[in-house]
Amino acid sequence: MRVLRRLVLLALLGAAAACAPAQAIPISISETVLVCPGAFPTDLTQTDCRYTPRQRTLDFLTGFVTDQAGLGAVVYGLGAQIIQSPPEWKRTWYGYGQRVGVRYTQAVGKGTAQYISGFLLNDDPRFLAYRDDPGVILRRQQAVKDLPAGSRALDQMTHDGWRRFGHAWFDVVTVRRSTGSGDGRRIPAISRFAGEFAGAYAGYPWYPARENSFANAGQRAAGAFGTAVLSSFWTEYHVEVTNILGALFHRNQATPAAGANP
Amino acid sequence: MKAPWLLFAPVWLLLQGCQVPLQPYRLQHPAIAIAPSSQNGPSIVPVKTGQDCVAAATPICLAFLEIDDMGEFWGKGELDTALSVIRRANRDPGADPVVLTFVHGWKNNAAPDNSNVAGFQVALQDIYARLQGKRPVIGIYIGWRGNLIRPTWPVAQQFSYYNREAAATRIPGASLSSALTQIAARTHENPRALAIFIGHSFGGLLLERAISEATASEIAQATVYRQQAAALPAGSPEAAEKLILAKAASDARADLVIFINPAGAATEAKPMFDFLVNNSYRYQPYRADASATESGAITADRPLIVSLTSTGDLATKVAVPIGHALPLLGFKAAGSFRDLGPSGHYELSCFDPHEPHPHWDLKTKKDGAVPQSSFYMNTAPHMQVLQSHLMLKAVGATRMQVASTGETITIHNPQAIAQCNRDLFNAENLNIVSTFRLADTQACFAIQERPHRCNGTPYWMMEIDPDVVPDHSTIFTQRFIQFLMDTFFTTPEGTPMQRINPHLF
Repeated sequence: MRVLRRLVLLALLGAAAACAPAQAIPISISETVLVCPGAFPTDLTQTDCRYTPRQRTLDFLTGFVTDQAGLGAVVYGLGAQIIQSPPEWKRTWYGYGQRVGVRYTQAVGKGTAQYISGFLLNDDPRFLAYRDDPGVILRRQQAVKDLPAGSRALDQMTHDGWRRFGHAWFDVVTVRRSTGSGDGRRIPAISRFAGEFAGAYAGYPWYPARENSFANAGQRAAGAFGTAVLSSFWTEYHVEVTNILGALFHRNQATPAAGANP
Repeated sequence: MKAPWLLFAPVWLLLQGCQVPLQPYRLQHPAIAIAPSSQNGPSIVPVKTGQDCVAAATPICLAFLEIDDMGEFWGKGELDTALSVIRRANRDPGADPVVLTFVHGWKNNAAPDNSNVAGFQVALQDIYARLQGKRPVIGIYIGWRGNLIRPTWPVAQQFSYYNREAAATRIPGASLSSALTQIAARTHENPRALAIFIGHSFGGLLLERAISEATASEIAQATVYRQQAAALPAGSPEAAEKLILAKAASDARADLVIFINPAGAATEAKPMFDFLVNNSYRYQPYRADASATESGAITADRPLIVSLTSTGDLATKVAVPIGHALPLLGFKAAGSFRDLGPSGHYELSCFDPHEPHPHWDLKTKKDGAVPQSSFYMNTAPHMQVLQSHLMLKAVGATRMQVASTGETITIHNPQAIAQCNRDLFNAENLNIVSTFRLADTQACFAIQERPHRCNGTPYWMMEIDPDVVPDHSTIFTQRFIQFLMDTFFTTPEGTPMQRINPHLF
């Protein structure tokens, strides 16, 4: 009978809870959070975080044989044509061809070195935003759980601008080991550095002899490294950049508040 | 003379090599079974596809409807199969199916290896699990040739923008509209079953064009029949007949239409918005009947159409205005747009049933009115003047941030954020419609009626936070599904949405 009474009581409590207006939403803390590099948290299509050989090969080919590879060489070559770099190449169609050709060769050299070294090290070079980092998500969970008493933790997380900046840099100079759960150990981004230097040296046969010094190759590698830095910072700040660009296109839009219901 | 042809041949071959051929992918297997996700292991298991959805016991089915570049179905069999899958699910005693029809966007199609097909499959699994396996879930994937250029030509793919926008504008017609009407009507053979239409990107444009005319017509018909029935003697056969006709009209439209990151101009949404404003329509599907207002029934205004866009969506925020800039010049040269002021007489009629005077007009720029060309240059949910709601995110123990503007609001009772409780927020006069937590970070979000809004119609429009949808394409996530389920598939009192009284008032 006692068991029956308890069951009835539980059922009544359950029914009362179901009928109660707008209840609090309970917090459900999970111990592990899966976020694949390059993906968004809770993305249902990302069940295996491994940077597979197929994906690595596809990314390599994208920078090698697609129109994107060609366009990169054409655009950067145009930039070099405008500033006439190197000065030995005249501002002629032939000179432009040299500039495009050297950039394409560099891109192929960079991609090949990155592909081979990345394959050997089994790394995952894809970037992840600070806010999507599993560690940050777990910290946020804990901060929400501690509300309202421990309110400082959540407040502090909104002022982590320097952490974001640091995370973007850290993502450039390190990569993760490729694992199914996406939480592989961080290692130095050897494949990325190898790729930049291989790209810089791949230009040797094209460039005039004066350009073929270690210092100049280093400069070219550093320039190419800038694109990796930009990629990482785009991952981190794309929302802010989108908002700024959006504001340019949506300016002169008054809010309806001014013409509110009289 | 042969030389030009010899030059032309490689170019033609290259173009053919770039193009995704015009072809159907699903004629042999128009409906496939989806395995429910594992209960013990990870929440989602890889999908085993290919098995035809023929067994009545199959709880999750995915049917395909494929339409060509001219708006014709590849085969009538696909629609027949989809309709028979819905009927079979409806016949299952005690089961109230949820039928989700999805129209994909640019750079996608119905191919087996397409990422949207895979994403929709796992989304169906996730929704089935959230409904605790109590309701069958049927997905209908409307495939069109959204992908004109192979992904191996990523730059050339970008230049298919105008071509695919034209296709998304051309495809909606009698074939697609009638198919959507049949899907809704077939679903509502079970009065508790739900028909939901979802369109993403150019799929949103395509879906909006396909349903707008039919939906407005169905709403108008149902309203007229109900008015006629009310004018006749209660209980008379004539009145009963009018009510049956009204019900048939209501059953022929979806219970909810969701546009996510729609890539169509706001000019596509404006006529429907005007129709709802001018007729003062409200949608209160939980109210048992028109006279139940005083009896304590739920009379919350709910959406019939929802247009959502992420503030982090570069495609609709920046690429659409850039893409429309050139055609805009043509329209301007032809004098096609009306302007503000006495010359163009372009005013925006507003309606908010919660205001003491529910109707007013925005006439000048100072009021917030914008010229007609602005509607062409922007997507609807990015336009502040059309936004009906705001998404708020907890960014501190006592602070909420508005997704669309970045402004912060101070909450005086910290328990409101700690408990993510709508009533506690509303105690501070915030007009919060619903709240939800993200599945992983547990961050609290709230949906607020936009202060001083012009749009109080059942066509909700809002910008959403990038923590929920980060960009244009990432939509098959637990975070986004959680938001949709908690905001649109749950009553304001927290109970699952039921189809009680689906007509507009």
